[in-house]
Amino acid sequence: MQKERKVPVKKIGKHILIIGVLLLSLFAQGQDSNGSINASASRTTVGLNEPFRVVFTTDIREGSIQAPNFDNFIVVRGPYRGQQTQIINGNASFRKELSFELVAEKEGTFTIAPATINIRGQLRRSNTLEITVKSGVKRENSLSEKAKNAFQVDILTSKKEVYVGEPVVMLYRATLFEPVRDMNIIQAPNFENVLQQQLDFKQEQRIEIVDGKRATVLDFDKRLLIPNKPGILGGQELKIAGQVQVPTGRVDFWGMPLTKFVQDVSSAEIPAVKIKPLPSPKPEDFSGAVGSFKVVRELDKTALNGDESLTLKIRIEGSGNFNTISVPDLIPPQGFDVYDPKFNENIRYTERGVRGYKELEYLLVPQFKGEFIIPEMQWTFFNSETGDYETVLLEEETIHVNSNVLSARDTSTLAPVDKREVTTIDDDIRYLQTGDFKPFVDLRLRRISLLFVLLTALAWVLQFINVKRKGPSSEALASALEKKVLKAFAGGDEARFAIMLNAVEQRIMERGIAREAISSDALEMYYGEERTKAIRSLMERCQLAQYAPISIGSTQQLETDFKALWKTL
Amino acid sequence: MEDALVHLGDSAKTLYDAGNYRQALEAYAHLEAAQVKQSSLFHNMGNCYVRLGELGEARVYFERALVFDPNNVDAQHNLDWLKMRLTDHLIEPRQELIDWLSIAFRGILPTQAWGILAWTVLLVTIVLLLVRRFGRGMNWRYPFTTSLLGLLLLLTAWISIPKSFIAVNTAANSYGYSEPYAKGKRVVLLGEGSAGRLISENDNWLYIELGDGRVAWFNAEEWERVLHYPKE
Repeated sequence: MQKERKVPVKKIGKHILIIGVLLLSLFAQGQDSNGSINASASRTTVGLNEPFRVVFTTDIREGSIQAPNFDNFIVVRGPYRGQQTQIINGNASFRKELSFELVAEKEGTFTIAPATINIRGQLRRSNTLEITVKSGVKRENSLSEKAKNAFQVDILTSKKEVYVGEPVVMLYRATLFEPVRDMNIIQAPNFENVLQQQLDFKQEQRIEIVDGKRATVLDFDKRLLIPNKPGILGGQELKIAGQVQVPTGRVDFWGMPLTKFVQDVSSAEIPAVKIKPLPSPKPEDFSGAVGSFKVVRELDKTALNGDESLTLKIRIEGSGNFNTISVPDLIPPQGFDVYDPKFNENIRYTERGVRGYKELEYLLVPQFKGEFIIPEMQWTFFNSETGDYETVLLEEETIHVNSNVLSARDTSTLAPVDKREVTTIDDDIRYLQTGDFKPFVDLRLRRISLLFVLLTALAWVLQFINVKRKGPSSEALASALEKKVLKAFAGGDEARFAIMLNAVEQRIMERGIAREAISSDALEMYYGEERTKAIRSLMERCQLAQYAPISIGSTQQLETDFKALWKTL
Repeated sequence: MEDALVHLGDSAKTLYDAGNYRQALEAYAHLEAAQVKQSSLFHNMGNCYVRLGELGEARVYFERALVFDPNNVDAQHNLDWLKMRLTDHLIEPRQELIDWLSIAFRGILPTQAWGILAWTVLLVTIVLLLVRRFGRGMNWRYPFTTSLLGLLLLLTAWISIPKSFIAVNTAANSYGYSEPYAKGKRVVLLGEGSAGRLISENDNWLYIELGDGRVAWFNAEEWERVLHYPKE
């Protein structure tokens, strides 16, 4: 049992030893590498449309190779990445590469910028490559030479001269003289101020004799161009890459010829298309349609019953820029319920241009009995055949609705006859209104109302203004008081002395002397010493007389003194 | 003057009864020119237009009759009758709150009655204020209350002034354009009697909003306003 355990341990130990030695040697080799990056090309002088290979190699393990931008070149295939490690007689070597297959865009001498690799923040660069591109250069090997002209590509346009807004259909056609696989567009024409749309279509291929040779013709792409500025369309290039099956000249074990697929590129320039401007001035109601059009309005009937419906179609047909125009809307006719229209179209994009129709189909249901008008319509487009604007006028059409729609609808809701309900046969307007007609009396509502508002406001303002009241004069008051006193004395009034006293006090107070100040010097300052004495004497006698009876003679004296004094007060 | 108007009204009725609707209409038009602004006159003119088959004009006059007297049930009936026979089933033009209030107030009292009532209350207010100022003292609350009541009545009178921004198509067909000129894009076609709310006008064009919210410019010659401007 113990022997059986020791044998596997020894084997594992051997393997670990071998792997360790290998890793150490590899590490040592890696440390010994010079850390360079190198760029090379399969050819430095190439023909136009001749693919060539560019390879970037390095022995640095770290990082990855960053390819440059291949200005003036198109990448046909790639990038391909690879790496390998070799150990020969204990010497290990490492190699990492990045390769591309390129084709030049045009003739000339171009420089391919260096590739880079980043090692711990340090950027290392490869050498640059100078490539000379010439047409008619003999290819690098016989197979490549055989692949040359194995297929060609053409661009077909529907028109050579169009107006702004008029569509051009562009067809990409490949003619294959040899079997070709993996065809793809590596450069498509790009236009400025042109609306370009790739069209859906079914690819077709057929066998034809071209230049005396049997060839497969393949229409592989179709595009719609709508120019929106005048000028010349052309010069842009289409490049197609494909792998051509080329015989190697050798045979296999069974005597069958061996073939190889070789990359090749073919290009074509778009034929010049002149874009003409639309004449000015444009009509105000120009719809934007350019081409050759016809506008049709179809009615399935012009007379119908109230319970029927009517189908109305408005269709634009012909050739032109169907993609950018719309069918004119129907102005809803009176007397009909108009439902949302159904849209129909059938547009074909051929080498002759864009043809077909667009259509709106309306359903109209009558509301009333009578004659109704489908309103007239106008539609203006530019006729590219005549080179002028044209206005299509669809004139008014009259529809006759024969039975009364309302009556027809009401019939279904009428009550059964046996219920004997009162049914209105037909309604009518009510008769004239009688009464005396009188001219309108203009009360000038606004003006008079304004006047009332102002007067009310004024009355309110008056409430807040303090107006000094005009009372009886001082003399009149004095006279009234005097009369009052004399009347009391003449009548023998018991309160005659109090009345006299009050009258004297009131008269003094009217002079601005307060009741409390009558006994003070203020009275003397106003009336003088002599009169003050007389006043005080009179007042004292009046006060005494109120409580103690006095003789008739004293009463008469008091009255006489009052009369004399009153005039001086 | 009033006798002449009464006589003219009788003549118009006689002509109408005899089936001479055009002459009857002319007689009523003379009354209208003589500043008669009674709902019954406009109702009768609407009747004449109905008999003449001019439904657009008829609608204008029935609407006008209802502006001056919203309680005119005959005019309302005739307008409803007319609408049933108009070809465009348009939603009725939009009515503002102020329009609704105006009709409601006129339904209670004529505008002038509201005005006279307001003036009376304001006159009482003025008397009360004068008495308060120059006579014996009076609590200010009495004239204040009558002032408020008077102003409220004046406001009601002002709101109830007959006004209408409705316009009616009187032509057989009228195209609505997106811009106020005949070469503009046609956006709608309306039949006779279609009505809309007048928003603005530009030379000979009316900018009209239909009940469903659509707006368009119409030739003013083809449309007639129910009232040309707010009148007392």
